[in-house]
Amino acid sequence: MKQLFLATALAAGLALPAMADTTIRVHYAIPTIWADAQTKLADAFMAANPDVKVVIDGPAESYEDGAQRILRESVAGTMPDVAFIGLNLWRVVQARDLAQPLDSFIDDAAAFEAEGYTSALRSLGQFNGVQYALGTSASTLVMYVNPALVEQAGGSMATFPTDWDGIISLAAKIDALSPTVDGIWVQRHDWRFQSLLGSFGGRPMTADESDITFDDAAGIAAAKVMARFATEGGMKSYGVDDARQAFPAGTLGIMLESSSLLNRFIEGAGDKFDVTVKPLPVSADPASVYFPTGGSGIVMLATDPAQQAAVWRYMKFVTGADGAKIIVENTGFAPTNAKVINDASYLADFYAKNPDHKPGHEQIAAFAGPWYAFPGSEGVAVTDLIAAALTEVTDSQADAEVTVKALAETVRERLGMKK
Amino acid sequence: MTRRRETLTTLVLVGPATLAMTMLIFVPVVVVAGLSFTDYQFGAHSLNFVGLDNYRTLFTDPQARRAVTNTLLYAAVVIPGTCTLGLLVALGLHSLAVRAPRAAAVLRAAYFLPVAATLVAMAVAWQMLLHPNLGLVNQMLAAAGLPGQRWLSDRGLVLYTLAVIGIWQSLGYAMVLFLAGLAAIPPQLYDAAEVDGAGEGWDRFWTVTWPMLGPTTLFVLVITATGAFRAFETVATLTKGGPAFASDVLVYAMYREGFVYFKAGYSAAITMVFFVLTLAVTVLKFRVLENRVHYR
Amino acid sequence: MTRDLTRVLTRAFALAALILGAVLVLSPFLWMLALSLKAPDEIFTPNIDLIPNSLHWENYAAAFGRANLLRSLWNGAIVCAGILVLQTIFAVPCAFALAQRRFAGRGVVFGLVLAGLLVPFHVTAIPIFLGLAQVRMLDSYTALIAPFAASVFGIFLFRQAFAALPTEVFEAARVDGLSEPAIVWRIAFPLALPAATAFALFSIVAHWNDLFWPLIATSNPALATPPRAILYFRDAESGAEVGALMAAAVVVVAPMVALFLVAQRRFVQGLAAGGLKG
Repeated sequence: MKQLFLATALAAGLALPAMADTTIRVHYAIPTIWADAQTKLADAFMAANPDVKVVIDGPAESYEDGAQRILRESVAGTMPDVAFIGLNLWRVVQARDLAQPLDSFIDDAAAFEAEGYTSALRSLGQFNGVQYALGTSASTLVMYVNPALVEQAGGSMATFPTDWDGIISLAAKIDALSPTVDGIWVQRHDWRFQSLLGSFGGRPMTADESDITFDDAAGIAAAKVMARFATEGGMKSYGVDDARQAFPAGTLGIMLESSSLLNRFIEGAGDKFDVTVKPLPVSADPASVYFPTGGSGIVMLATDPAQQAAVWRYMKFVTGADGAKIIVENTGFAPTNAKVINDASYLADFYAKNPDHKPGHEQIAAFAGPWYAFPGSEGVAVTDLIAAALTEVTDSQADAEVTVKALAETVRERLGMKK
Repeated sequence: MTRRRETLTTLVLVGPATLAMTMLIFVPVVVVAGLSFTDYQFGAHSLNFVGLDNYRTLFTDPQARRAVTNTLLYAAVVIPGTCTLGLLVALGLHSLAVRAPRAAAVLRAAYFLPVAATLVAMAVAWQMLLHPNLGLVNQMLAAAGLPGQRWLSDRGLVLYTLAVIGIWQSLGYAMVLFLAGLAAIPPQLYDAAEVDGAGEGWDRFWTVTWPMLGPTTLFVLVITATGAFRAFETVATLTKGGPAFASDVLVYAMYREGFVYFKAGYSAAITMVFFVLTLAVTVLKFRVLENRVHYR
Repeated sequence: MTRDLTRVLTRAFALAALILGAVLVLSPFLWMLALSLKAPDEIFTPNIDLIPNSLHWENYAAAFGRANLLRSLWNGAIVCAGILVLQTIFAVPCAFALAQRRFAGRGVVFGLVLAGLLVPFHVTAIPIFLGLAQVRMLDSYTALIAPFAASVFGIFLFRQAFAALPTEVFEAARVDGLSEPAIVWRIAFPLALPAATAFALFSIVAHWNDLFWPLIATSNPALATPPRAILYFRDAESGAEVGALMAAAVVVVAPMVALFLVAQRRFVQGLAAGGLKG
């Protein structure tokens, strides 16, 4: 009897480790924001899936560094199994056939959608009809406003202007308050430009990426708004770090910046003023408006089927409602899962404590669109050209229409789109 | 037999270092040179030979030309600035050390601190100090009645701002090297000079110090020059070559094309041009100056 | 009398200039120190206050707690020591041969050294990375140490130092029957101690602060080096955590300052030794 008991115990003891643990390696970027969320995600997942072990690689500093590292690791044969990657960068990884298509893992399309993966949100990670990435966190361009400065300039938050003319004239009044106070600011940057472009109903390229379309009326209108910021709204030509310092310090009235900055701005402003978030004005038919979504998505890099199965379970957890809740609560980014947005029970507490996050989240839910990465080997290079052209418009008062058209031609040439 | 032994000994002494240099420096350079004739994209599965295409693009691209002129301008400010200030500080501290060693030690540490600090953190401090409205520099200028400048965002000014930061960073380096050189000058020479009537200040400097510092000065010049041409970190952390490529320098352009745009082939071509340029300048300098340097 | 006055005035002026210069040079550090003790809402303020309103030690707690600062300091020590030892072993004999021995190919080797000075590490990084990947040596202390074994700067520095030494000393030693390596390490190296100290200082400082290579060569958090701990708090996407970043930076630079204070005594010793020799 005793022997039988011992044998059983021994067998059980030997069998437990033999319930082989699969280990998956996870890559992520920006530890100062994500470290807590990553640990919580890993812990929650492992609690629900005891047969899978999650190991987190040392984080990359930024999404760009992360993408570079993945490429290096692919060459060295040391790639992780799954990676959180910038939403405008997963194409870089996919172009080298490193990101695995996910369609075969999504068994039931309808059931999948019901879990919160709406077609708009799925579009964030699709290319040529194939799903490669799933969104994990989102950000959008919003307006941060300093109510104290608004009121000093004679405006009021209750009647805050909702169109560009009103906003620009308010900015001019704020700018006039003092030589060290500035009215409005936006970074001369590809994503910011695409956001303004989208607010006017424009798109950077045609759907099949064969031609540039931002030199149409919408693109010119977007560039003109930036130009007016500089000529009328008092936009100074400092860099993004300077602006990110000026706003919470209370010397910049209105700043168009990513919704992901909210927590830092609130921290930095402290008791000085109450950071308020306003959505961007929409100047075209809402059906054609879209805002490019910044943030991160998750891609599968593993090629071994057993690993892939484990990775898929992890991906579904992280992008599902529970995972999205952990992410939103710990990073402040907007969720990329509709269930979590619509079902108040998930984030009601969060929004109660952090009401300023709502405008950004709502803007994403209403108008999210992919952040277009320009195709081909010059794709990343042209984003710097766009930034340089915008600097000409705002700093050197170059004519907006002429500059945008010239820029479009240059980009067409660089990308090999000229016939 | 002695001849063979001599050669063997030399091999033992020189061999390991030469092998290491070849494997760790020159073989990679050859690999990079080879890449410059291809269109290799990092992470791609294959590459094609494109002959001189990369170089053709490079020579006709105004951005590339700007990177070259920026690098030369930057070096033209940093090299004389660093060497002169480094020498002055070293001379001052060297004589101070005789009278007040503790004070000299503290001041030496102060001047060396920029060399010792991690640049990524200093970049944040510098950006805040140079902030157009909130920064200490402009606020002090305002107090003195002078207009503040947009140090890092004015396209005509940014390169010079980076050059001043470059001097700040490498001054301590030059100072240490000069101090080492000054410490090696035998005091008998000064005594002899005093006997000859050249015992004070300027005379002392010209007749004893400056000539004896010859090898050190040459060394400092070469090191500072190569460092200035290779300037990368300041640009990468403070301006990323901006605004609108106004502070783009060769090594940063090479890094950006290769690591940010993933155009490894084009980046390799920039590297080759960089080598030729800096090799020419350095060899010239070395030739011109080594003749003037006295060795014992 | 006038001569003395001039001397006193010049000395006073020089001292004042040195102190003013030191203050200017130190200003970014004073700012960094101040920022490391400030709370976020004090960091982002239009006022310039060098003294924080209250000492926000949480920044340091964050640096040690969240960014694994102690571990990275330890790794930094291992890596820098390893690199220095390797570099010295390779560079010193070679430099001696270049300076004090005649041999065919001397010009070539010295030319290689000079050419090597021009090569920024970023250029050789990718091929070295690929090479290490082939032999599966990435993500290890070896990967962090080995690529830096060939220090052309070290060879150059020691060569200049050895070239300034009198040949007679070595001739005498050879006559006495000492082997060449013994001459290098037992006679030449001690005579070049100021240069060796300078080299050790530069090498340690450079590799302590090196961010680029460790970022490429390792992804295991247990191998993180000091700048990685600072970088933890940098974030171009959503804004850096300035206070904690500065706190980490202060902790990372402290050992380097201590090292310099210790090392500079050697310079003073070098001066004193020179005096005694006379």
